[in-house]
Amino acid sequence: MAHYYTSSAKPIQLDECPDDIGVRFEHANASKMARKAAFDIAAATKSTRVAAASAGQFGRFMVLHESGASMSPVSAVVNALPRKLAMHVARTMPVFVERESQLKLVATDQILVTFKLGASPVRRRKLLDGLGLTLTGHSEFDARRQTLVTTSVRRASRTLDLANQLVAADDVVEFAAPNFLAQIRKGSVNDPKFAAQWHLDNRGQGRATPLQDARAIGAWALVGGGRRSIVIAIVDDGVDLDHPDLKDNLWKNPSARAKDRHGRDFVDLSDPHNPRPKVFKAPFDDTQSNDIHGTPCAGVAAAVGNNNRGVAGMAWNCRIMAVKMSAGENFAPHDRIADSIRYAATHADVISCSWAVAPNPDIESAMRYAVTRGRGGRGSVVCVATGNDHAARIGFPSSNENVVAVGACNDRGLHSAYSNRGAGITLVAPSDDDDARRLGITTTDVTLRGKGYSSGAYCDDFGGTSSATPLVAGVAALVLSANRSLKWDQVRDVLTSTADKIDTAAGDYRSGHSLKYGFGRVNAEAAVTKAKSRARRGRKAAKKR
Amino acid sequence: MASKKSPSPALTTIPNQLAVRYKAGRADSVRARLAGLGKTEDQPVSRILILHRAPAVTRRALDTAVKALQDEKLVEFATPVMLDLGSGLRQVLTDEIVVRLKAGHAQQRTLATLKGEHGVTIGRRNEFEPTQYIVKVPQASGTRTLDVARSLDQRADVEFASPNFLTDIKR
Repeated sequence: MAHYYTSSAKPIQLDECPDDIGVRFEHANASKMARKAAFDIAAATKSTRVAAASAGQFGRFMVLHESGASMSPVSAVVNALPRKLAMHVARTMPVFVERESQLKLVATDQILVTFKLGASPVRRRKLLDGLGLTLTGHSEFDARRQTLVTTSVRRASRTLDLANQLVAADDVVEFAAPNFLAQIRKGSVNDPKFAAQWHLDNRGQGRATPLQDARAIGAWALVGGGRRSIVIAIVDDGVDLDHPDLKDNLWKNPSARAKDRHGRDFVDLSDPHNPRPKVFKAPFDDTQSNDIHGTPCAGVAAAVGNNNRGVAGMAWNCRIMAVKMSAGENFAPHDRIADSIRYAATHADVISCSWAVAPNPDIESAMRYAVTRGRGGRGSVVCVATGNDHAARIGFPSSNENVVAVGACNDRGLHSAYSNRGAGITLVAPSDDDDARRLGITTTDVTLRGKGYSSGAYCDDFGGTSSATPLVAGVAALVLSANRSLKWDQVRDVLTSTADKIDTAAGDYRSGHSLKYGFGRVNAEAAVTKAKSRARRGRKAAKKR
Repeated sequence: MASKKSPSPALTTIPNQLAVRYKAGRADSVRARLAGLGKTEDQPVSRILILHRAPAVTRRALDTAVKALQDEKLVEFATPVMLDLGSGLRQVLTDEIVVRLKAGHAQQRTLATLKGEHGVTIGRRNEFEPTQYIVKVPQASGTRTLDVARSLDQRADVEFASPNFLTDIKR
């Protein structure tokens, strides 16, 4: 059922969460004991789990979430509490979800009111009395205007109606809104186009299915946008080094005398230290004849985040190294491709390759080089796209044993029709699909006027395994941010062992592996959690020694 | 293509396609000379024109035209375009071969042997792999580069040898 409250004179739409319930106890101790009890109940019934329990000044509150139970949450949870605790339940409160942000709000029995300057005390009291509201407190900072009132209604959802009635009295009231207990999304970013980046935080944008994403927010709550020292190489057709959402994250060669400041161009030998896009030919949005592919890949991996600009990359605080292996055409010599990988491995922790070529021993040798020489012998993590051919085999070099082979799934958590299938696929990551109704990926685009996939500095229709690959590269960078000591294959193990098994009905997982999805869809939060836990175990073991 | 260390990808020649590498600055004249023989596909950074021979043009007519271009020193080589059957990607044979020498062999002596026995010239040494070189096949035409690479790959002092194809990149 839809509800709303008012903010800045606009209705804020809410949906009731039928499976959630807020519980307020008479005292904080009861809440604490109830929390423990609720966990026990969850373990016993396997149908109820505690989603959140607040602390501090809200120590009397607890939010319970029930999944898959047929009984109402109130009866299932509150009735299941030990009797001595149930006695201390002051009231239960409905939980809403705000449509735009998908953040949860618990409606309490309190309303925050700001009266207009000049509204007489008599008029104020008359208004509150008329609605059956009791004045319970004043703001510490603006006692004359801000007031906390308590409703006496039995159903706290009525609090919304009362708050809206107060708003309607606009000759007296400046604003009024329920004093919600508000869910805080930790780790989120302020980039204006982030709301469109469903692959990082899927709140059901467009026709997407909520939560079908790479779980970026949870990972960021643990490691932020990653460590500054972690470097992701984008081996492609160049990266727009002047892009306002990339330039602050560019790798800077630690050697002050080195001429390759941000990467290397292996194509233009007259200008090898300038790995920017250089070759363009109309039509300027054609990938094969324009240097426009590496820039969106770089943005997916590590566009600057939390800078109030554009988009965020998965590893938005890590560094991007540009390695240009091709330019303005769809052919490149094998030795140049191999050397691009080798160069990347000498500097980068993670290497992202959103392309496929015909098999070649020099490129295979370069992959071995990356995992044996990269990161001082721990090995660079090489992520490679499996290809977009609708085929029952994956491309090369994703088929190489020393890489993380990345396929694609869509905004509903289902296989992207073009994404190649095969035994060698490691995992998948969110991207677009052949079906135009499925969402594309919003990321950086080349800023050169009239060039690129869009007319501006960002595009919203990037996709393919080309987009899925730098997304996984970004997750690998976050994993290494959490635990630098991991070897390349340990990072791959962390990624595969924490991946979400999506589409279990049609995925045909055998021994945990699917020909469509590999070991599942990358889960940044779970991967970072596991990497951190391994780091803690490592520290403990080191102490014992 | 042969390689002792890697499984050999199955290659086939695409019958109606031919690649020529034109000399710097001669793109327009080579393109004009080939225009009557079929559609050309330009790869300007690599200085490669891929000719898709028109059905009405005979193989002999094409060979004659290409030989004239070579005689006039307008093109560096003319080679077949091959198809990697596994990936379905095209590969253009060039005049270059990537050769990795086995460790423990005297490099300069081995390189001299390669020059003497296989008629190749020694090009640049790899920046990252000190025993790896690009060797060039003089007057490469047809599948000569492929044949030389095969024989180099069989040598006991060579770890692997593989034609330095221009490979189609699929994104």
